[in-house]
Parts: sequence; C-alpha cells; structure tokens
Amino acid sequence: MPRNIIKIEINNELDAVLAYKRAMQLSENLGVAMVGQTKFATAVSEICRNVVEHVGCGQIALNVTEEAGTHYLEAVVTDRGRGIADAECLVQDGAGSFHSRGNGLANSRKLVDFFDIESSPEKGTAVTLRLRLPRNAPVVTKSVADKWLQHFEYETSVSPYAEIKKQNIKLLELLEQLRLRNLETEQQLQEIRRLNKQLHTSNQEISQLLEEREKKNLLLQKINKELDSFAHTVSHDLRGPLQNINGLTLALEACIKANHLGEAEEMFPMLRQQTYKMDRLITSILAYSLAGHSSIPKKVIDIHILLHLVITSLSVPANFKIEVDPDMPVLYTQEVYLYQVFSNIIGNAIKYHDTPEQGLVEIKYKLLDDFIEFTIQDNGPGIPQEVQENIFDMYDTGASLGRTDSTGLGLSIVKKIILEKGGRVWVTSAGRGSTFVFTWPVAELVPENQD
Amino acid sequence: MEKIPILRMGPFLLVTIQVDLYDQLALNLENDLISSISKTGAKGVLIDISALDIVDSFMGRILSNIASMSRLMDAGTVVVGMQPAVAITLVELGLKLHGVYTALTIEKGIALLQQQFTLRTSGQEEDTSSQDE
Repeated sequence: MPRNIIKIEINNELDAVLAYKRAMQLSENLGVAMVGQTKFATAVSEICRNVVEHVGCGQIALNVTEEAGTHYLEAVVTDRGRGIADAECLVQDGAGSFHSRGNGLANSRKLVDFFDIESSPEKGTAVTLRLRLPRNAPVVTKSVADKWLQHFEYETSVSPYAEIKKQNIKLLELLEQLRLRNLETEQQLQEIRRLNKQLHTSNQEISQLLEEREKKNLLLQKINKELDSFAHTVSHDLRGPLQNINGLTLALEACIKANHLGEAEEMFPMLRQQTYKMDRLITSILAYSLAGHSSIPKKVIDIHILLHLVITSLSVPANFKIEVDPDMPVLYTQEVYLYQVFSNIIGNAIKYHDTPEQGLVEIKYKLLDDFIEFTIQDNGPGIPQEVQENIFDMYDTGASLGRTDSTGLGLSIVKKIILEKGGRVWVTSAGRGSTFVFTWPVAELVPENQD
Repeated sequence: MEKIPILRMGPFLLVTIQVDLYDQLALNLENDLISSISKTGAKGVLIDISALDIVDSFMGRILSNIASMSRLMDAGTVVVGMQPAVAITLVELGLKLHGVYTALTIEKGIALLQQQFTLRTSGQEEDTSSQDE
C-alpha cells in the first residue's frame, strides 16, 4: 500500500527542478546514501523534463511503498498527453543519445531499481520509478510525512521559483477558500435579507395592529367616559321622583297614623304617578344610553305637548311663570332627547332662580336655513362671564352657585345630546337673566301642512 | 531575468553554476559565454558545477554544447568540482560529455587550461589531438 508523501504539479522546467529536489530530500530523509540520492533524483529529473518538453504538464507523486518485504521510495510521474507509441522500444533504443524522448526514459531506467511505463493515447503516460530503501530506513508514518512536508514548507532556500510557486499555491488555496466563504456569505446574506423582509412585514403588521388597538383603546375610553356620565345621569335624574315618592310615603304614613284614610287614599294615585314617571324616566334613560350605539326610534313630537309634560314633571313654584311661544313646531325625532334638553334647561332656570315668585321663563323658536333654533330665556340672577364657558362641562356647577342639590350633570347631558344631533348649544348672559340657545337639525321638522 | 555571472580570470573565464539550469537560463549562459569569449579573447572556460546536486542528460547536453561552441571560438572548456555522486551517476547513465575536460578543483582546471594554452601556442598539431579525449 503506497503512502503518498507529496504531489507536485509539473508545468515547466522549474517544477521539474523542484521535483528532483524533493526526490533528493526524501531519499536523504529515508537514509539513502548520497549516490543513491543523486541517481534517483537524476532519474526523476529526466522523466519530469520529458513531461515538460513533450507534453507540457503533468504530475509527480512521491510515495513510500513496499513490495515483497522491500521498501521503496517511489516516484509516479503522470501526464495527460497522447501517450508514447511503442514505449518499451523507446526505452531500449534511446539509451545514450541526448535528443530523443527515449533517452530520458532509457537513462532513468538505468538509474533506478524498478522501472515501469504505462502509456495509452487515452490515458496519457505513467512512469513509475522506485529506489530501494536501506533496511534501517525510518518507517514513514503520517506524522513523519507531515513533519517532512512542514519542513518543505518552511524551507526557503530551494529557489525563488519554488517559493513563488509555493506562495502561488497557497494564494490559490486562499482564493478558493475565499470564494467558498464568499458563497457562504452570499447565502447568509440572502437568508438575512429574507428574514429582514419577514421582520419588516411582521413589523408592519404589528404597527397596524397597534394602530388598530390604539383606535379601539380611544373608542373604549370614550365609551367608558360615556358609561361614567351615564351612571351620573341615571342617579341625577332618578333622584327627583324618588324624593317625591319618599315625601309621599312619609305623608301617607302620617295620614294613616292620624287615621285620615280619605286623604291617604288620595295619595295613592299621586304615588303611582311618581312611580310611573320614574319608570318612564328609566325607560327613557335606558333608551338614551343606547343612543351612542344604536338609534332610538324616532316619533312625531309636538313640542307644545312635550313642553307641557316637562313643565308638569318639574315642581314649578307658585307665581313662577313659564311662557311658551304658541307657534311651536312638530318634529320627527327622539322624544327622550328633546325631553332631556328642555327639562334640564327649564329645571335649571327654576332651581337657580333667586326670586321664584317673580320668575319668568320664555320659550321661543326660530326657523333658520339648516337649523331650528330654540331659545329659553329667564329673568334669573344671570351667569357670570367666567362661568359661561365651562357651564356645559360635567361637574362644573354647584359650589360657585351655592347649591347643594345640584349634581352638575344637567347641562352636560344637554350638550351631549345636542352634539349627538349635530347641533350647537350656548348661553348668553349679561347682568340679570340668561338666555340658553340650542339648535336642532331642520331635517327633522315635520311640515305644518301634514297636520 | 536570472543570469549566471561570468568572471574573467586572466586569459580565462570562470562560470559558477549555483542555480538549477533551465532552457532559457542555459541559452542565456551559452550566448553570454560566446560573446564574452569573442570580446575578451579568452582562451579557456572554467565551469564550476560543485553546487549542482545532479547532472542529468539535459545539463550534460548544455555543458557539451558550451564546450563545442567554445572550441569553435578557440577556447577550451574545463568542468570543475563535480560531486562524486554526480560522476557515478553520469557513468551509470553512460553519458559522455563530448569535448569537455574535467578537473577536481579550479586550480587544477586553470593548470589544465594553461597547459593546453601553452601547448597550443607551441604547436597546432598537438592541440587538435589533445582535445579529442
């Protein structure tokens, strides 16, 4: 089993020189005497020069091999030429002459212990030379061979050409490695690009989701706020009838205790009226709460009748006058909305009046291009300029006006409803008296000729 | 371009081959030597091959060529400092270095050339016979 030690590509004469130098060094390493070394190296040189001269390129492999118990240093020189016709004949005949190809073969044959030539037009030529190694030749293990190779690597004295060739080979190897690494990098780059793209898309998706979430959050916050104000509204509006019921039950109790059964009996319809009112309110408020989500069914409403209902539901003090313009429109709209608006504004006018015995509230309406404008004017104490701005905001009441029975929700409910309907609400007040104005979409006006 | 230096030593030229010969280098050496001989009128060429590990048929041919050319230019050629192993190899190969004299050292080579030189100046007939060794 031959063990290869070194392979050298032969492309020119300097490679042939390198080949015989290596052959010499190896035979020296293997303990061959000087003459033996020289003979073998000369033989190698002859064959390699042949290759350079007649074929141009080939390869030499220097091996250590064994046959029938004898160890040999072996040089196998191969080329890819068209082969040598009648190689055996050339080997025999060419001896001693300087000029034919045969002389190289014949010469080298004389110098080695074993010579073999195989040649075919297809496979080219392979020449095997063997040099018998002395008995005390070192055993060539892989590590030994590697050490020699390393030695060859570091040895610079052979020739500048060998050095250049060595470096060239190294460079070529490096280039190949670089090419491979480049390919790898290219692949990795593509992978990275792909991942980047993916990341980009998922990023976009995420930002879209975030945006959606933000929107939903805002919506949720709005709904939450509405829910909050709704709770306040409920408590605010339910308090009135509840207080009435409370008063009535107290009166009822007193009557029963005093055994005035006749009077007590009269109170029951009043009680029922209050509960009925409360029920109506609850129904209305529920409907109102649904306004943000789904529309409350509209119906035809005569404002006169509505205002009458509102005024009767409010506890109007004696002598407190409420004048309603006889010319009031009929609207096709949500009753509960209008009811709430009028009830709150008129209720406020009554509640905050400083001289209720002379109180006067006038309710008018005007038809504009796009809106119906309702005006509720009172002769109350008026509203200071600095309060007017925030009067429609939730909680912004009470303290400044010195009242404790106000929840401060009334006008905020009004504002909410008006905004919901796409209208405006404002107040003007200078000195005594305030005027609340709100607009309602003209589209909901029922033409008079339909009545 | 690599060049093999040619030194002048009195009437002779000294060439020390320390690098391995290849075609172009050998061709250059031949040219340089011939022009040097013609320029200097040197009567002999000493080629020191003590640094060569091997002399194969190619190098043998070069040496032989140089000797033939020098002879045509009326100068003798002596190869000196051949390694014993190289000599043995040459013998085993059966290579004959036609027209080449050999000497062990440069001094002996010079002596050989001087002897030839004097021989030649004394008589032309002996000259030709001694060259065909």
